[in-house]
Amino acid sequence: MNILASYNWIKEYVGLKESAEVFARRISLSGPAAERLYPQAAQYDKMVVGQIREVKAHPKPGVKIRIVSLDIGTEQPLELVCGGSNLEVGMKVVVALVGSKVRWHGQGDLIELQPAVIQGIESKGMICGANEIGLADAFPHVEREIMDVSWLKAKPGTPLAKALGLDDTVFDFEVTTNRPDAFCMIGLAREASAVLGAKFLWREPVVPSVAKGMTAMELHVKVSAPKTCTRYQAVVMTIDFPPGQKSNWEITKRLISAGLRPVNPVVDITNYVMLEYGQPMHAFDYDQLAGRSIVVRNAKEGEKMMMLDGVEREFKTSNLLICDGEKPVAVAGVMGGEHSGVHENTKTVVFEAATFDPVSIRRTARSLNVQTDASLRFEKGLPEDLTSAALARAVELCEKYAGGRVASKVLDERSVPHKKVKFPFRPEKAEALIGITISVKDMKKILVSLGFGLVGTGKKWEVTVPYWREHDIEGERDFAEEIARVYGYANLPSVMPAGEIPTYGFDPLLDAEDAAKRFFKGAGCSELLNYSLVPAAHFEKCNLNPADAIRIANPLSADFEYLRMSLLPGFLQTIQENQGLFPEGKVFEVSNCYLKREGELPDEVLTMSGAVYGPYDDDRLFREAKGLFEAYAAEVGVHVAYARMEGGPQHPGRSVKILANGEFVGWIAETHPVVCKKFGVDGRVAAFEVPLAKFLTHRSTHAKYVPIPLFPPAKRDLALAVDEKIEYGGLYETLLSGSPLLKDVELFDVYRGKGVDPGKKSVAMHLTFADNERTLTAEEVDAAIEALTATLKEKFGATVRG
Amino acid sequence: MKSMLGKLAAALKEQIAGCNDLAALEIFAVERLGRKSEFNNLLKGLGALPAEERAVVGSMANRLKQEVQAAFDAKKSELESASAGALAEQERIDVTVPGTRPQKGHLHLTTQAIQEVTDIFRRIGFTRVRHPEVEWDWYAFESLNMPPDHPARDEWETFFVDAPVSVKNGKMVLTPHTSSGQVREMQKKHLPIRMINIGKCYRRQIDVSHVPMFHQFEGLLIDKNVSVTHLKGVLDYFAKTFFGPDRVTRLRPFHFRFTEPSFEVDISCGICLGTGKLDGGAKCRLCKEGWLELGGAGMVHPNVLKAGKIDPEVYGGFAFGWGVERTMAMKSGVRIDDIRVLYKSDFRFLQQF
Repeated sequence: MNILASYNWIKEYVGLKESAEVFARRISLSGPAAERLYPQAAQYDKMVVGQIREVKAHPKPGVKIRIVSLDIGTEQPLELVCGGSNLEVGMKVVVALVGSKVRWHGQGDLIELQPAVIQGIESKGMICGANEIGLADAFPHVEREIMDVSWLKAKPGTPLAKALGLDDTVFDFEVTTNRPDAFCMIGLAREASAVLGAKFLWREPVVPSVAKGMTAMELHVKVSAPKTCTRYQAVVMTIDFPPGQKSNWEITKRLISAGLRPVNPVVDITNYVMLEYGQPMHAFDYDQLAGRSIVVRNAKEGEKMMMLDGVEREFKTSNLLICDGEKPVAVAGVMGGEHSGVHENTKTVVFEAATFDPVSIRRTARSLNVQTDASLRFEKGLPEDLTSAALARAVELCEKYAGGRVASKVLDERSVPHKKVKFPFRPEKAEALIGITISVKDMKKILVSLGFGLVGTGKKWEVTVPYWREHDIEGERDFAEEIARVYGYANLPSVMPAGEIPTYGFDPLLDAEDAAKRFFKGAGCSELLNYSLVPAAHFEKCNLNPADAIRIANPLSADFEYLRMSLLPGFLQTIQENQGLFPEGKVFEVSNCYLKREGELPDEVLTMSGAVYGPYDDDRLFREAKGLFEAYAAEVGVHVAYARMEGGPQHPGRSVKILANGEFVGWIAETHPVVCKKFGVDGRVAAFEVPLAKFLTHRSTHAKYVPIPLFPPAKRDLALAVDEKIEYGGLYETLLSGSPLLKDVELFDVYRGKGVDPGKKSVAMHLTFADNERTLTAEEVDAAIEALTATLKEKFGATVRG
Repeated sequence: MKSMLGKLAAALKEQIAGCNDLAALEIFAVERLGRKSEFNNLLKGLGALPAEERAVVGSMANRLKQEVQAAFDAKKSELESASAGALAEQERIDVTVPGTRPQKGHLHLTTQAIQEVTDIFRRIGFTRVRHPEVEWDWYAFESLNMPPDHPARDEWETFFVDAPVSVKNGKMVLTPHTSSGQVREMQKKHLPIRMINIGKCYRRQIDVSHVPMFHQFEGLLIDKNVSVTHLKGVLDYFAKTFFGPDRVTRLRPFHFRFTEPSFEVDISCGICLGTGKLDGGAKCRLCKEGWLELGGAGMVHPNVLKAGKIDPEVYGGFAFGWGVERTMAMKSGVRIDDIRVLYKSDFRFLQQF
């Protein structure tokens, strides 16, 4: 979680002399990370405070702009023209000189000011409106007026940044979620004091009592949900300032530095305290609280309230509300209600500082879809002991800046008693964890600087946790962490672990997966990594039932509802999306598929799949897919066989099961053209899919050595005419098993057309004959072929072609 | 006979010297030096000579034959090189025509990063493992010291599987991080542990910088006498090997439930070289003040060791892990504006790598 923090504000609570850059670098290494630095003065560069000496009308009649003579601390006054309607002699104004950057009339981009001649008068600068220098929120004024800074004590010529106290740097700090105590100026100051060894200047303010001469005003506080509201403190104050008055600049500039907009003095004080102490606060208009009561309770079913953002919301019983005697006035820890908010005519306010259960606040904010600065802090868990200091600070500021007077005692409902959190601590253990020796003195110094209390010496200490760290400190380990980080991780050496290297646990499947990926890449395929999460449509289009797949109970959208059981549907979608620019191609993926198992985690099956697609309806895609698969099978040494397959999303005449030692280990198939259509695929797709682990169990691990033949083989070609329906596989098997001399059969051509009868095809093969004992004679080979062709003729009706 | 041989040899040598055509030379060799040549015929007459003379003439004949043969070989070699010189013209091809390449395949960027990361950690004894992607709440959260009301366990952060809740292990989830493998690895009951777990993770987010499925890698080392300095050693080794020897890492305090202390690991920016400023003095836009966030790390929390039935008083360890996609983008300088492109399977993207 990030917070914008002004360096000047932090320095109010810690004695630092470091430059902003040095401070940012050092604290980032040991505490909250200063992710960005925003020097504030730069944007007011070449702007100064000027005082109007003289205002003259323009010599030309009818021209509204006037000629102003300004004291800007130089010997000669600066003369320029200005259209501002509120110019008066003696007024202090913001003068932007040549080279400064302003936003004309508060609109458009920043523009660098150049000397200009306006209505015949040369101007080397301009008098600015607040919106022209980005300060409209702090200094609202009507259109055509200029910004009046007569209240500034600064002399003419003082740089504006200095005069306004904006010679500052704002840091964007990232504070980890376990450290809401550091998510505020005082917390950051405390961290800074520990890390940089500077003096921490904060003192806890004193809880107020009713102001002198005030009669205590009536207020009742009742907490009906003590588990979710563990502390509720409130105090009534009368306020006194002219209607419509804005907060003092000191308050305003701090709010702006933290990215908040000033609203009115009371609301600004609650925000100021939240930024400074990390404790969100709320202020109610006392006169709007029915029955002068505050009741903290869970919402009733269907209860509604108009919230401060102008949206009416309906509540669930799990939502915690702040109510008056009759109705809800705020959603606890999230946002106030419109009705009871502090308005222009508010005379009396109730300041609230409370502690709520972090989980309850998070769930309420989520369910109402409202995230606020308050809910962000409460969600992280705040200590009950923080409320009184924050309330006291709010009272102090209200007295100082809003004419506030305390008009009640502090009401305090607390359900969690205060208790000291303590843990034992062994310095030796800390050193072992950190890896170097740190002196006991240094360890103590670090812990004390962060507010921890220490008792004991020697090997075992007892450490008391300050209230602001009660939520994140859970034991001894945390103290070691505090010591290590403040000591500085950067100051630790970098050492290779010396221990023994484990010899167990090598998973050959992971290496096989890598090898497979490299193989298919080498074969010219592009790897896909599609989402494991798929829509129901992927199953439906493939004639599969989504109910067989694992469903996500809270999917992001219907596109990511199920876990996939096959990689094929993803391929089909990918092909559809790419076919316009890539009408043919080869893809592969090696990823998990997820199969349901009753009462157990699903079977995560590492699946290897490849697909070839293009505008071809003959057997070429099938053969290419099969070839890719077979090349891989040969590479890894798995001997496979095939059997025809039907069903699923596959083409009924172009599908085979892959068998290894008789076991089903995958399939190769052209996708059914109707399924392709459903996915919007224009051409055809042929794919294979193999569960990798199962497939590789059939691997023959070592290639066998066969001695190089001593006698040369005899090679012959054989072309057979057979009926169309006769498959090559049958011819191949019959040939190989038909003669001990025949060592290899290789298909090289299948031909239909001229010279071959209709309904028949010519199948041409290279045959290799050999014998290990001798060189075969031509007569022996001829005899073998004759015997083989006779068998083929008998079995398949095959005839030898010329 | 001696003079006849001498004359003939001299004539032959002269003829060889005068020959300027490789083909003619070959014919000459057959006709004048072969089995039926005049020279050979003369030699056949050797047998008729008396024994003494035969020895003298024979040795002379041999010498002459060698001389003629040498002259022939020299000439042949001379003519051959002359002819090879002409090849440049006779068989000239256009060498600027593109090569006939095998079709190019592509590995997904994520795969490339996984392979590289695996290789680096393998060198320092970390074995790659894989643990379930669909996991029990107990492994994903509970055993990692995350209390039941931890935000990560809310339904808007994590995907839950529509399956019955296990009495022992809680709900079934899609693992949101590879850290779920920590206790699984401990349950293998082998110590010490040096594992690198790389796998798919899932979170309920999709926008320009988030995808619902992504990859993480997680290193875990459990042994006796392990300290923060060892974590630094391993991280530095990785950073220098993966990103380059001029890069350095730093640890900053961070917070994770399952490590204590926890760190954010930064690496010095490769563009501004850790200065935060470019050559012209302008602010480096890639990094934060000279550093880039690499990922998270920490010393394994004693409660996690206990969940894995390891005595935290005897053993300790560290873990580190982060997004594969991010690590890869940081290295390759592939500035991906919209991370969703990684898993859209657009060939125009995939085929760039």
